[in-house]
Amino acid sequence: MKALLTFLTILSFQVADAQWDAAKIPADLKEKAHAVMRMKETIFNVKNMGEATQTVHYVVTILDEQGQDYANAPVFYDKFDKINDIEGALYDAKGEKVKRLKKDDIKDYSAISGFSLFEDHRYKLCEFKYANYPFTVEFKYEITTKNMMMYPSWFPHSDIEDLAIEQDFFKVTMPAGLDMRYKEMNGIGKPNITDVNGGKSYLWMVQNVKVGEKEPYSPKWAKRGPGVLTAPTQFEVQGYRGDMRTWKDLGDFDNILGENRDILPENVKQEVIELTKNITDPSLKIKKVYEYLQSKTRYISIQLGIGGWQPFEAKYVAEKGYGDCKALSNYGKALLKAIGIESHYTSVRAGDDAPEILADFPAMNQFNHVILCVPMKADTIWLECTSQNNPFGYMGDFTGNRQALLATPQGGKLVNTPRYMSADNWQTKRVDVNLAEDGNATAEAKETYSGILQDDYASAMEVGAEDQKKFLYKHINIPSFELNQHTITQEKLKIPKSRVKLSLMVRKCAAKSGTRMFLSPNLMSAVSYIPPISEKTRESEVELINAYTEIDTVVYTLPKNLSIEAQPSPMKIETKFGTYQSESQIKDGKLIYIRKFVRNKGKFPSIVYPELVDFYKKISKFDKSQVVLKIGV
Amino acid sequence: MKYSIKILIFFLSIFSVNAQISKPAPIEFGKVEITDLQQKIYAKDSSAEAVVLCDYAKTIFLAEDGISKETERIMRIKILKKSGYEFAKIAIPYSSVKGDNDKTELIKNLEAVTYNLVDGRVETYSLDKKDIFDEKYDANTRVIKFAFPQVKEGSVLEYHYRVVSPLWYSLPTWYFQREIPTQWSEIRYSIPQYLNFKITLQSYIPLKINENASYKTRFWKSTQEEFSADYRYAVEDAPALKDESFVTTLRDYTANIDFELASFTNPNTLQETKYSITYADLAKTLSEADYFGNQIGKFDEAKKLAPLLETQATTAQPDYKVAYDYLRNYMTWNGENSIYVQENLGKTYTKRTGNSTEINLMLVRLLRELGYDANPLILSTRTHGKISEEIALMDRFNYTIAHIQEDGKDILLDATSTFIPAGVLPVRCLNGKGFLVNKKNPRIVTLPNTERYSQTTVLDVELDTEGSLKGSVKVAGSGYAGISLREKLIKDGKEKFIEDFKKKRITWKDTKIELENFDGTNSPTVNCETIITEAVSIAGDRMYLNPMLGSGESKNIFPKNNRYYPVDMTYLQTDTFIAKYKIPNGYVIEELPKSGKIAMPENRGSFVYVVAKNEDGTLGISSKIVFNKSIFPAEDYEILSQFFDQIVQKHAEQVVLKKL
Repeated sequence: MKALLTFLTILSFQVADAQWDAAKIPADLKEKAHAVMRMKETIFNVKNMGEATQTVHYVVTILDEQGQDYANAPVFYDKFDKINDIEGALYDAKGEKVKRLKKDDIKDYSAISGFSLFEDHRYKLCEFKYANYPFTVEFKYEITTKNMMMYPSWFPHSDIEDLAIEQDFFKVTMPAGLDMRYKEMNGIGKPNITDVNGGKSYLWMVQNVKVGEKEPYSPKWAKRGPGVLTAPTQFEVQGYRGDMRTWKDLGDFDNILGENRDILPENVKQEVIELTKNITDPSLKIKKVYEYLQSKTRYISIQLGIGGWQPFEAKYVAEKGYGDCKALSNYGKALLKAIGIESHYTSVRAGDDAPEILADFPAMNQFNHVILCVPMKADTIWLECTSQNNPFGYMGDFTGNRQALLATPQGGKLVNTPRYMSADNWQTKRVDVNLAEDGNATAEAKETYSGILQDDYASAMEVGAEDQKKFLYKHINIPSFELNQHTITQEKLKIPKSRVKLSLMVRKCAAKSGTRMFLSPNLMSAVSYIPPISEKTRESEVELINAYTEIDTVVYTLPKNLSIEAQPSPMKIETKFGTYQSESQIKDGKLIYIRKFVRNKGKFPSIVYPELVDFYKKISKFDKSQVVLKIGV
Repeated sequence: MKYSIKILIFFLSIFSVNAQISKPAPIEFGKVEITDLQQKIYAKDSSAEAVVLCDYAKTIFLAEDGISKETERIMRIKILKKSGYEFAKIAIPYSSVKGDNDKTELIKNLEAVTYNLVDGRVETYSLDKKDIFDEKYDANTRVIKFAFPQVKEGSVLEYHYRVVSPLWYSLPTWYFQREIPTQWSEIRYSIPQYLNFKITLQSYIPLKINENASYKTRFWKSTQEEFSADYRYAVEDAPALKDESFVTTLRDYTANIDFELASFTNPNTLQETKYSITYADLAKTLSEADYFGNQIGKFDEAKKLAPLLETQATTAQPDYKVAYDYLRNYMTWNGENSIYVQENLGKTYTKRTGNSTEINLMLVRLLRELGYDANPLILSTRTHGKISEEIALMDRFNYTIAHIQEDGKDILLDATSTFIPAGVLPVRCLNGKGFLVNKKNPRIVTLPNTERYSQTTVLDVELDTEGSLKGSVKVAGSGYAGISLREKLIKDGKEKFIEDFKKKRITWKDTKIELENFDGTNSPTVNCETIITEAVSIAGDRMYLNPMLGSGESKNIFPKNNRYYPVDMTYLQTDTFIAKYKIPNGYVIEELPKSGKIAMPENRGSFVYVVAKNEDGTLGISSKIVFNKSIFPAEDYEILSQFFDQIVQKHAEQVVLKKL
């Protein structure tokens, strides 16, 4: 209860200005910080299922130029929101008020994301132009929202490297008869729960938090630091009512939003029926429909009001030839329905750096993308409907290896999307090198990339020859070379493969130095990145996201009159993070280098991080090891 | 194809009189050629994702309740690949200020049509009005946005619209070129005699059409003879713009035509108002402007400051440096580039933050109070593009610094940066020329680019039989390298600075670091005592040592490629590496890399590599890379590439040690 008392005192602060004297900040909080949150309170006050007000009030002291961003407050809003009030004040180092936020200090901007054609997202930027460090700003604003699908999340210390915190509160109040749900993250602790007017109020807080350090290879959620996710039970938005307590409920709501939106124009319906009538294998039928969808549509994102969650009608997509992920997936579903195949509209969190779905916390805002799932007797088929090039059934690391929510007629079901494992993700390189006496060489490389390792190459296939060349120059890991010829092809399989052929002229492949030549036989796969190590004790777990295998075979035809003076002995490292092997052999006057690297995936305790660094250090060292050739025997 | 950039400047002059340009427009909306639909690739650039078949605009001026202008625009685009679908999304920005009709443009009659060839038949899809979005971008700008329907590989897209604009005094820059090739780009203007625009053309592609003519007309009143002039410019087959490394900004390389109002004659009173015409006029305009020169007088705090600063001056630290140091520490640059003062300078001073013009006009005033003939010097930052020496266009400038002369030499001061000593300009300002805004003696000033980016690494180490090196390493920076070291230290703090330094050197063990000269004026130096592990490879009774120890260049930064633009390396550079190795007892040097020296023609750059056995038995090595030019023309790219190859090669060579 002690925390709550502090909170109440803070709430009623109308104390002398000097309260925000920068000298009053405890010295240990200032250490390495660029800004200090003196106090912050975020109150989400739910009125009923369909409306809430959010009040944000904070006072932050900016210590130096790198904390300057905190002198600005962006207030985001969209069609569901009404900004009732924005206030602000600027205080000097001693906490004396310099000025109030005026109308002229607030500017209104569009906040359409880069990938979208149009959205109704906007923000008001409140800005104090002032740089007499240290100084303090105070902002207070209130927003009424009618989008009750989304409750706020609170991660007070996500800017761990810049900001220290004196106090930060997060409070949600619920009216009588309506419950909220929440999930504490990364050790934030339990809330203080109190009864207010028959409803409940939940309060979390942090106090005296120093700046910290970002840790590489941290799990995605851990990166945000301690915090809370909140979500509704029952809710209402733009006349639609839903429930979010279970995944089933959430899927039901998707079904409500999608109701009667999968009706195709008759001609399109006939076209797909005609297109697939001679195909008997259902998966081939689906493939045909997918190719039809890819050829007829493209991705255009338009997000307006409930349209941020509700798909455009199938009819609209047929007419325009475009839509966003929701519209195109819904269209795909309608096309399949036309030929009697059932599929499910599927919500997913996309991206290779997306945090994992929290399976025990059903919430709409865990997802940001929609795909299509076609259940089959044997293997379920997954379709990415926004891409014109994507191989049939392939998810890649954009939507693979994670959980997703199917909206089935029986409601929502959380299931796994395809897993891409070590056996799926691999690359092989076979390089034949002809080394000349001057150390220059020509090389013919045949590379195959499979699974998620092929994704970059698949995208490179879509661009022009000049851009492909640029892409390859960036990706080929040889110090000095010329690319004479290249081809990139893709096999659009369920686990797709990209094949790359290269003809290279490698300048100074071996360094000639007097009577010797120095050759690093690992021509194209030397690891140079080593995870950074900090002197501080690591806190978060170590996460390796993907498993994959790399195999290189490099065969050197050596010039005559060379003898081997020294060559590295075979190397092998086995760790929990993966294995590494490399060796070079001489066979029939040829130098053959073989390297195999297997990277495992998984989460490991924080304490093993130095071992991971050591593993990469060793690989980097072995990858650089050299063969010494003596000229003239 | 290899070509280098040329900037051509066309002055306005009328070739013929009484000849209105009445040639038909190069494009008619709705008349799409079947051959364009059949086209599968763009022959001149087979890698093009899409191509602009024609981009045409015509601007005329109208006299109704004052002067306004109207522009008709027609654009036709061919989509060649799926990756070109991006070009089927259109954004048309326009000026719009709520409640201010004088600043609000109207977009009218927007129509857009997709043409597809399906089994030899042409299918068309028109843009539905409901699918047009009108985004409020900020307080002054709105953007019309739409996506063409039913776009396929092979589609031809066409749209047109009219802009009705009260902004008669400005004409937007016309770009003949963009990231996809443009087959035909044409702009026409009909300009009444009352408006005098200055036009500059920047292009390395020749103009296919460059015509103008003046003719009698009726514009404002019927009681007197009036003239208008027609202008027509077109470029054919402009290649796609490609982004490359070592460039300032693509704008410097894009074919474009630019306009600025030079003067306006009131049609009623026939009184002429001049805007900037010559650089002398520009100097006068700026000197007297409330947003510029007049503000210098508003910074009265300078009167109080000057005597205080004067007392701190010494022979080593003259008063102008004291003033410069005071202001650069007192004020924080807000990151904004503008040649306009936003608010009263006196007020800006109390806020301790401002744009470059605000801060440096304060410096000008402070220096004047100290008795200098100080003046503002305006320039354009690297990302903002080059200025024209011939034509004074105000909007080409976005930055102000301060200028004084000492012993006949120009001294340029920019108090926006906390880390830079007096007389050196921050990197963003290293962009060729600037203009001295001095009413009496205005002139173009070459921005000195003589300060080098110099790095020196000195090693004194002893090799043991395990292959580790123990000893001292000094890393020093001077010129811009010194500035960036100091900047990093101030930004990160000592602890993080040292930690980052160590993180980059993973094979170093038990490293002790001391920072020297970071406060002073000499080269800041990082002094290390360390053990470098894995420095050599050991095989049998031999040790192989790359004496550059990973400090060498291992990758050619100028890969073999077609180069279209000049190579802008920002500053002159020197990179020096000196090492002394003590060899373990019982080992002898079996073989050394050969010393060597190469130089680019006209001493534009050089590389000297020396390896020698010293008399005391130690091994000495030095490598010095020097660039004596900061900008190399595109023709020199191959030389640069070869030059760097030699460095990479030498830096890979190794020393062989043998056990006795």
